[in-house]
Amino acid sequence: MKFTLKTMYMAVCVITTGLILSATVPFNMAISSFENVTAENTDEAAGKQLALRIEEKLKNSMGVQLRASGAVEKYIKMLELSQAGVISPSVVDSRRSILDVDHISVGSIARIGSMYEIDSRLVNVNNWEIEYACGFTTGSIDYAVESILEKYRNHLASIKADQDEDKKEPARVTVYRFRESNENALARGYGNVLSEIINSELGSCKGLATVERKYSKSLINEKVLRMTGVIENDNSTSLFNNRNIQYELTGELRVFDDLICIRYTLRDTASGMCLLPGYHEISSPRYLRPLAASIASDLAGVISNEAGVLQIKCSEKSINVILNGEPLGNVRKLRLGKGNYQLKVAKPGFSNFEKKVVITPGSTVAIPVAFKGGSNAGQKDEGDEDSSMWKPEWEKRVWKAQKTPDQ
Amino acid sequence: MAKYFKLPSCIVAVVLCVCAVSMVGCKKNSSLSYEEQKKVVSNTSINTEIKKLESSLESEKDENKKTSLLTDIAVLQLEKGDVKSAMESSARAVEISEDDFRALYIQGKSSLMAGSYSRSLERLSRSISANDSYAPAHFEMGNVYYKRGDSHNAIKKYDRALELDKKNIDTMNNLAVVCVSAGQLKRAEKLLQRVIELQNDNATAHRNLGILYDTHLDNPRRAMTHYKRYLTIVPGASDRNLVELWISRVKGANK
Repeated sequence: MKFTLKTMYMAVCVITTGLILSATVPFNMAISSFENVTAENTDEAAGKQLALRIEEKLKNSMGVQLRASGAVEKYIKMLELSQAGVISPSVVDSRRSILDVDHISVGSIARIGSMYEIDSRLVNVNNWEIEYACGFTTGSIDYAVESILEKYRNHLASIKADQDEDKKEPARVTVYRFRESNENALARGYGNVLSEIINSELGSCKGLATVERKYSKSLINEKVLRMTGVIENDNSTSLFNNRNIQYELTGELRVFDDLICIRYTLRDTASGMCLLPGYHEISSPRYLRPLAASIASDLAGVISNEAGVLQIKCSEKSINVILNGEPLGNVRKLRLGKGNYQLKVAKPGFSNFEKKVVITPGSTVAIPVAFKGGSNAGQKDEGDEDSSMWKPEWEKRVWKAQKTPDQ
Repeated sequence: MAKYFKLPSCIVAVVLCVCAVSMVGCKKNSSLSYEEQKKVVSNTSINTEIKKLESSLESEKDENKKTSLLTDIAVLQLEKGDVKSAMESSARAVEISEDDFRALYIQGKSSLMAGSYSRSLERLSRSISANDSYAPAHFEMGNVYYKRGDSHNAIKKYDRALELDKKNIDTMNNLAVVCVSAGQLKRAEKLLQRVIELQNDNATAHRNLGILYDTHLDNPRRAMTHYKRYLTIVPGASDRNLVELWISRVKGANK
C-alpha cells in the first residue's frame, strides 16, 4: 500500500511538472526601437527610449524570453538598406537567422502638435505577419507604455487558447505607402503616420494576415527618380505578388491649411486590378486614427472571407459599371463585401441595365447583362459616366466622422 | 452633341479661346490658369473656394461661363485629389461645350490618376486638337506615355510642353526623369540644374539630382550636397530615413 501511494505521489509530481513546463514555454521575442515618423519629434531618442521602457517592464513578465536590448537593430537596419537599394531583399531574407527570435515588436512614434501617435505591433519573423497590433493617440508617453504592456500581456495570455483553433490560410495584405502629394503634405510628413496607423489597424483585423510594412517596404528599391504629378512605376505590385502578398494598399495625401485629403487604392497584386478605391477628407490630423480604423474595416470586409465575387457577363466591349452609385469603369469581376448592391451597367446609346444584387460570403454571383436600345441614345460620349447618378451616393460615402469621438 | 456641331475643330477652338480670354476679368476666380489656381488653394480653404464657385454656377445663365466655372471647380477638386468629383464636374463642362480644351484636359488628367491610360490619351488628344498651344495637355500626355513605358513619345510631348512654356519646372523635372531612363544623362543633369536655378528650394529636383549624381554620374560629393539640401527643404519628408541612409553611403564613398 505504501509503495502504491509513493508511486502515485511520484506520478502526480511528474505529471504536474510536465504540465507546468509545457505551459511555460517562453515566448521568444525582441523589441526594436520605435521609428520617428514626423519631423516634429524634437527628441530624436524618443523612439529608442520608448522601446527600452517597454523592454524593462516586459522582461519581468512570466513566460517571456527577451533578447538583449538592441539585438535586432542590425537586422532592422538591413531592411532599411534593402529599401535604400544598397543590398538585395534576398540577402536580407538569408540573414534572418541573426534575429534569433520568433517575434519582434516594431512600432512608430509621431508627434503632431501636443499629441503623440504611437503604434506597436508584434510580428512573427518567420512570415512577417502581424500577430497583434495596438495604437494610441495620447499626450502621455507613460500612458502609452502602460497601455502597450497591458495589451501585450493580455495577448500573450490568450495565445495558448488560440493555438488549438483550426485556422484557415488567410489572405495576405500589406500597406505600402501613402505618398505626400503637395508641398504642405511633404513638409508635415503625415503620409508615414497614416501608413503606420492603417498598418496597425489592419493588423488588428481578424480574417486576414497583414504583412508588416517595415518588411514589405524593404522589397522595393526606393532609389528611383521622382516625377511631378505622377506616381512612379515602382513595380511594387508584382514584387509583392512574388512574395505571396495578395493585396497592396497605396495612397496619397494632400494637406491644406484646413483640410487633409486622402486617396487610396486597394490592388490585387496578381492582376493589378483596383478592388477598392477610396477618398476621404478630414479637418485635422487628430482624425487620422479614426479614419484609419474606418479604412481598415472597409478593406478587411473586401479582403476577408466576408467577400464574394460579382461577375458581369456582357458581350459588349465597352461598358461602364456603376455600383451603389459609384462608377467603376469597364470591369467584369468584382470582389465585394457581403450585402445588397444596386448594380447599374451603362452603355452609350442604350438604356441602362439595372439589377439588385445580393452578395453572400464566398459566393460568386454571375449577372448576364443585355442592353436594350432607347433612352440614352446619342446623349453621351463613349466611356462617360452619368455623373449625376452617383453624386448623392458619393456624398453619402464621404467619411462623416469629422467630429470629436465624444461628440 | 457631336452630331449637332459639325464645325471644323479649329474654328471651334478659336471661338472657345476668344470666349475664354473674354471671360478673364468678367468673373472673379473664374478662368484662372491651373498654376494660378494651385497658388490660390495653397493659401486658402479649398472647399470654401469650391463652394464660392458652385454658388456662382447656380446663378449663372451664360453657357460659356458655366463651362468655365465647372472647369475651375474640377481643377480645385483635382488639386484635393478628389478624382471622381473632378471627373464629374469636367464631364458636365464637356456636356455643355464638348470642345472645351481645359475641361477635356482635366478629364484626361483625372483619368490618368484613376489609372485609365487609354481614356486619358483620348481626352488629352481632344484637348490638344481643340487648342494645340495649351502646354498642360502636352505635359499630361507626356505623363501618360511615361506611365505606359513609352519614353520616346513622352520626351516628344514634354519637349512640346517646354517649347510652349519655357520656364515650367514640372515639365523640366519630368523630362529629366524620362531622359535618365532613355540614357540621356547629361541632358537630365542640365534640366535639373535649370530647375534649381529657377527655384532653388525645389525639393523634388534636389532629390532627383542627388540620385542622378549618386547612381548615374558617379559624383558622391555633389550627390551629398543635393540630398542634404532636400532634407533641409522638407525636414518632415516621409523618406527622411532613407535619404539619411543614402547620405551616409555617399559620405563613405567620398572619403
